Amino acid sequence: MPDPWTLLGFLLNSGLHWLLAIGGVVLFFIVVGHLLLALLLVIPTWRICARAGFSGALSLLHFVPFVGTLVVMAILAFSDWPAGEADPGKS
Amino acid sequence: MLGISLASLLGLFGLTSAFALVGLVLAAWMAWRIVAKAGLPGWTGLGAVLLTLTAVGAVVPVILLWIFAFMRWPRDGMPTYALAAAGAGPVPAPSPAALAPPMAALPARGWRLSGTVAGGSVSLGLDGSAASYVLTGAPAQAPTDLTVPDPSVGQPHARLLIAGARLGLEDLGSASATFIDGARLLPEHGPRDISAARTIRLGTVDLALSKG
Repeated sequence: MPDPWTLLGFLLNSGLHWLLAIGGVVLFFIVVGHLLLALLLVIPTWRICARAGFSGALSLLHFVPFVGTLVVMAILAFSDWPAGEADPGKS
Repeated sequence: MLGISLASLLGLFGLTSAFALVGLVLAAWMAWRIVAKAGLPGWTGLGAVLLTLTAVGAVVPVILLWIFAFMRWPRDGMPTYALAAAGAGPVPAPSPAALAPPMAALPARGWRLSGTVAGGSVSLGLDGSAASYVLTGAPAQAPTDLTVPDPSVGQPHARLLIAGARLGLEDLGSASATFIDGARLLPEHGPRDISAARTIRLGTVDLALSKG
């Protein structure tokens, strides 16, 4: 089991530090981008959930990466809306 | 070595694309159902999601989501609606205009709301002598005012509407909220049929609904 400090020193001296730095920056932007996009989706979804009769907090599922948006959509699409639905024959 | 790496990378992209495609199809289908429940044509939801495949990318669907959230839904103005809380599917019900009068069709027996408030109990009878009643936390100013003496009840809080053998409830924008069998009633929902409901909540006051 190599000493972590030795491993870090090796990485920094071997030229891989550029790769680590770029990876870190990319990861940072991915996380920040995800949070911003989720926020952009949470606000309208909160209102949609409330109008459908659900708790607006359901929309916080958008913060869950990959599947969160699909889950909140599935709840809205496949459950009965407590506040009522339009007559399917009318739409 | 390079070939293996390249093949792995392409395989990963292929797998990711497959997941993305399945997710997109699912999202389009669910969007169809969601907008249909709001009273809009289902294809509008499907189209909005499929727009992500085009050059406009995800920007337009996000804008459409915001519009959908804040626009007026046909469901809210339709003369038909469902009370899922009552365990029923879409049920024909009167529009706000239709909820007004017919005095001749009033039920022989009225409705009663009873519950517990801060200072004791309250029991309100709706004998059907009027087409609408106002539920308020303030002392009654008119014969059609029904007082629920509790600080959590708005002044006024909600309106009860009688149409034939049906009873409707409309939130009047109260800050402390109205619930029908636990489901939130918003002012934009308009009047809702509560004939089959068991309890309504005004602020923190639960009122049991009964006929008689």
